[in-house]
Amino acid sequence: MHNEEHIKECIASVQQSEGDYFQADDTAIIQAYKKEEENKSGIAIKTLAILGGFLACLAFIGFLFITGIFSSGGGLIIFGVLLLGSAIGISKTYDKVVHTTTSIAMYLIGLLLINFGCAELNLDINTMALISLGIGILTLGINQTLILSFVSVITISVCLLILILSNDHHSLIHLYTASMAALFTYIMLHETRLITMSLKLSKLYRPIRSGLLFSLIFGLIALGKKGLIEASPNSIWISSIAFSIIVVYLVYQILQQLKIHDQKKKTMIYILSILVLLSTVFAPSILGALLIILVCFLVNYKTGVAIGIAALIYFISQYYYDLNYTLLTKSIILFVSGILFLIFYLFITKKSTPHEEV
Amino acid sequence: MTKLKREDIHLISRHSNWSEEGVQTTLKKSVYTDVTTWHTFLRLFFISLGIGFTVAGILFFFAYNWADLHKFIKIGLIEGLIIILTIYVVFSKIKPDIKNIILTGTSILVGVLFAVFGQVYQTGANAYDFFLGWTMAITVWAIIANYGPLWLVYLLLINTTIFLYAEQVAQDWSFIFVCTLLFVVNAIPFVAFLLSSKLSKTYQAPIWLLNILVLAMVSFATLGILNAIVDRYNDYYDPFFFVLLFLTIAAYSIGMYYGQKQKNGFYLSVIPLSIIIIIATFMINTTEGDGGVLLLVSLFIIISITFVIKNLINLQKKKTDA
Repeated sequence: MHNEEHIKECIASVQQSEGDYFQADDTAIIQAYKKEEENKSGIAIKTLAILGGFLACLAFIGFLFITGIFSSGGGLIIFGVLLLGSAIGISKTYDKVVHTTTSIAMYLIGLLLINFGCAELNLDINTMALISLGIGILTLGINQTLILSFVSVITISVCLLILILSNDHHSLIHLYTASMAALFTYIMLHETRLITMSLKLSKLYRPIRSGLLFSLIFGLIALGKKGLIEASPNSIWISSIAFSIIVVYLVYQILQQLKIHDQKKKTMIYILSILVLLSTVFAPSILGALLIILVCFLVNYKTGVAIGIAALIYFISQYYYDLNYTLLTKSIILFVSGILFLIFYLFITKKSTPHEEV
Repeated sequence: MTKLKREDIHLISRHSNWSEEGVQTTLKKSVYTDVTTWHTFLRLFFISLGIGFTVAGILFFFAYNWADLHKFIKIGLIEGLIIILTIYVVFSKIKPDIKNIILTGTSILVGVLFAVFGQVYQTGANAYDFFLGWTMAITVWAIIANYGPLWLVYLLLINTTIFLYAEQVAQDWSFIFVCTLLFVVNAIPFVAFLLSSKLSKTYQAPIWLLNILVLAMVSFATLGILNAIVDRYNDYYDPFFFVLLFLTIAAYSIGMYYGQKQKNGFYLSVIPLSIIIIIATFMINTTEGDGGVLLLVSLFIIISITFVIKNLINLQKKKTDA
C-alpha cells in the first residue's frame, strides 16, 4: 500500500538523521497510521458532524419544551449523565468519524439535560456553569478524540464566558482573552515539547489547538463588537498590552527562526512592529487577529491563518464602523495607515534579502 | 530525504523514543514556514492591507459630505484616481497578482464614483440602478483580469442589484421567484467557470470561488423551498415554486453525481445538508409542532448526517487507494 511505504520512508529518514539511539515501534506506527487514514476527515466532515450534533440537540430542546417532560430534576440529571457517559463511551471505544455525530449529539443533549435538571433543582447559574466546566475538563481527561475533545474545549471556554457575564465582572473578559492568547501561543510554539511529553497530550494536541483558537476568537468578538459586553473602555489597554507583549515575543521568535542577525535590520523591524502595535492600541481585537495570523503562519497551521485573516477583516470593519469620530477623521486614519502599509510593502520588496516585520 | 508532514511527525513521535530536539529540528525543517514563504506572504499581506486601507480611507472621505467642494473637483478627483490606477495597471511591469489587487481596489473606486455622481445629481445612491451601473462599468475589467476576488466583487454586485430591484421596483415579485432568479443567476457563472476550467488547459477557476457559488445556489434553493413549506397556503400555488423545485432537484442530482464522480467532499456535504434541513422543516411544519415529531427529527438528523459522513469517508478511502 502506498501509505505504508510512505510511513516506512518517513521512519527511515528519521532514523537516518537521528542516528542509532532512535528506536521506533514500526508496527504500532503503521497501525496508528492506518487508523488515522480511516479517520481522516476534512473540514467538511468535521463541520457536518458538529453541525449535525448541534441541530439534533436543538430539535431535542424543542421536544423537551413542547412535551414538558422535564418535571423531575433528579431524573433529568441521571438521564443526562447516562447520555454523557454513552457519548464518551462511543467515542472512546470506536473512535471512528462515522459515530461522531451521534456522540456529539448525545454529549450536547446530556449537558443540556444536566443543566435543565440543575435548574429544576433551583441551583444558581454559577453552580451550573461550574458543573459544566468540570464536565468539560473531565471529558478531556477521559477521552482524546479529535472532535469530542474539541467540543469539550469549547464547552470549557463557553462556561468561563458565562461565569464572567452572569456575575457582571465584565472587565474579566480581558483576563480571559489575554490568557487564551497566551495559552494558544504557548501550545503553538511548544508543539514539540507537548507532543513528546505524553501520549495523551499528543492526541489532545490538535483538538486543543483548534479549540483554543475558537475560544480566543469568541473573546475577541466580545471585545471587538461594541455594546456586546459592557466592559469599561478604560480597561481595554489590559488586552492590548498583553497582546502587544505576545506579538513582540513572536517577532523575536520569527527573527530567530529566520536567522536574521543584522542589528540594523532588527532594530528597524522592531520599530516598525511597535508602530503597528501602537496604531492598534484601542482595538485589541484587531491586534488579536494579527497575533493569530502571525503565530499560525509561523508554525504553518493553514486553517488558523485563514481564520485569522477572516477575523482581521471583520474586526477592522467592525472597529471603523463603531468608531465615534466623524467620517473625515476616520478617512484620514485609514488613509494614513494604508500608506504606512504600502511603505512596508515597498520596504520588503526593495530589499534584496527577504525579511520580517509585523 | 522524504518530506515529513506534521501528522507523520506526530504519529512517529507517539510510538518511538524520538528526542525533543530531533522532533524540533524536523518540524522546523519540513513543516514550519521558511524564509521565502514568509517573504511572499508578507508581500501580499501588506499590499492587500495597504490598498484596502487606502481605498477605505478614500471611501470614507467621500462618504463624509464635503459640501464645500465644487462638484467638478469631487468627480474629477475620483475619476483622475481611477484613470491613474488603471494606466498604472496596464503599463507598469509589476507582478500580475499585484496588478489584479490594484484593479480590484479600483473597481471599488468605481462604485465610489457612482455614489458621488448620485450625490451630486440626486439620483438616489441607494437605488438598484446605482449597483446596476457599477456592475456594468466593471464587467470588462472582471472578464479581462479574470481574477478570483474581482469576480467575487462582481458577482456580489449582481446579486445585490437583483435583490434591490426586487425590493424597490418589482414589489410584485414573489419571494420564491426572487430565490429562483438568484439561483439561476449564480448557476450561470458557476457552469461557465466549470466549463472553461475543463476546456482550457491553462485556466483553472479558483476552487473557493466555485464553492462560494455552490453555497449561494444551495442557500437560495433552500431558502425558497423552506419559505414554501412554512408559508404553504400561498406558495404552493406559486408556479415558480415548481420551477424552483424542478431546478433544485435537477441541480442537486447533477451535483451529487458530479461530486461522487469527482470525489468532491464539498458538494457531497452541502447538498445533503440542505436536503436534510428541508426534510426536517417539512416534518416539523406538517405536524403543526407536535412534540413527539421533534424527537423523531432529532433522530433523523443524527442518522442522516451519519450516512452522509459515512459516504464521505468511503469516498476518501477510494481517493487514497486510487
